[in-house]
Amino acid sequence: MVLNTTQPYASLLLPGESLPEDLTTAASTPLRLGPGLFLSHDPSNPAILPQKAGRLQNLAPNSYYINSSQKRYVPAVGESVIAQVTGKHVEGYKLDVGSAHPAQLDALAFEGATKKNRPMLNIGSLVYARVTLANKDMEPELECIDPTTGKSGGFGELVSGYIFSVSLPLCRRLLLPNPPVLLALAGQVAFEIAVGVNGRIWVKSGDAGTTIAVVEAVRRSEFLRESEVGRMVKEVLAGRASTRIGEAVS
Amino acid sequence: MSPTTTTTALLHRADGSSTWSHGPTKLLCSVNGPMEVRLRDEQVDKATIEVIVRPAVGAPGTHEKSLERKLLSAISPIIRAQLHPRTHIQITIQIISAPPSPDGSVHVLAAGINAACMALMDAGIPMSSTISAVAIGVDEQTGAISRIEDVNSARSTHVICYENVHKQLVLCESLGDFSDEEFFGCLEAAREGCEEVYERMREGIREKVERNEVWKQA
Repeated sequence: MVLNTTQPYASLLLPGESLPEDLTTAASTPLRLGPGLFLSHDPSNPAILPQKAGRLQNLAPNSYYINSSQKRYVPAVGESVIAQVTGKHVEGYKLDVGSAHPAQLDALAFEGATKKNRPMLNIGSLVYARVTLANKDMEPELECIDPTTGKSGGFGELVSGYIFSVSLPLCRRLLLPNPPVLLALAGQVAFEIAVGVNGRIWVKSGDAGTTIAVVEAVRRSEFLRESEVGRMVKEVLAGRASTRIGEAVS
Repeated sequence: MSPTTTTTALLHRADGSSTWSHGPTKLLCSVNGPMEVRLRDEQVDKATIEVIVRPAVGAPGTHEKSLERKLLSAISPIIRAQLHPRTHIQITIQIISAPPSPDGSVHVLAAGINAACMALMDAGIPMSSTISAVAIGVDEQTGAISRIEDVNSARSTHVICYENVHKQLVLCESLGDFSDEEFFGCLEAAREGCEEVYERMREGIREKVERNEVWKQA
């Protein structure tokens, strides 16, 4: 089948529908199937098919995936996530990552940790961690070390601040270079932010009003055009109360 | 023919959700998963799929249990449950309005299958295909075969569900007196009806994808 470029939504696919191009004839190098595509071994119709509803995308030269939107996180190796400690035992911690199964974090998987000197996390603590093991049959495993340098590399405990959940595509967009909403906010207020690809975002700033405004602006940016983001951020910031953390509201 | 409308992603706390309206029948469906499973329901090689049907009024009873069973049998084969072993996928159908009993369930079953399929796609649950269902009736007086508007005027009713890739029959619940020719006529009418339903589903997904791509516009 030839790619039909006259139909504007030719690349929009529902699960099981034939792809607009025959990918097996595409490239000489091995074909890489990304998220959303699977190889069907159905004898009557062996083919590469979508298993999610979305748009077929091509990362040149030979990588294809389905760009789809969902809220539930499924762990994959190498991804950076925000996890919350739900249990402690001798060797490490059990954490909630938002997936079906809880994740494991070794107690020594931190920069400069030794048996005598290890970080103490409490139940409820938040960490920014990296997924080291993820497959469908095992519990996922995390670490708080950048594997290339052996240093923390930004991973580790997230102290204080506020955490909230959004959809996975919004998180992925916030991790692209120059996301409009974060740039617009950064121009006007000071805050720290950590984005996990598991749909969780952590924000910390000097006062509660700013934190709430940042959260609200990020949430509202999901379905806005780039040109509308600046105005929305101004509105949200104009509406915020100015209370420093610890002060009573007058 | 009553208009059919569908929407997605209206419930903020559910992983996926949808509505499906056809005539007086309106359903809301939510999907959660893959999530933590109760130990007794755990399966080592695949996800456990659960369907729950809640009536518009009153507590669920045997009628809802029967609908749940039929829905599960139609939906299970298309979900790629082997990708998420030891997890739970929960599909909940809330009936908002339906034609009065006893045969309003004909419309509810068809709409329920369609709503569940939309909600599963909205939740990003991996599926090998999609399914569409219609309710077909053979008219009491004329013997005409068509998508049912008024259940009471039908001598037999058939809820027929086709899978959309290979056009295979997935579910057929027939009630009433009918001949062989009438039955095959109903299957034919259902094949066409399911194509229309499938187009509606594609429209609904197109709306979802467009909404999610607004940020790309300048």
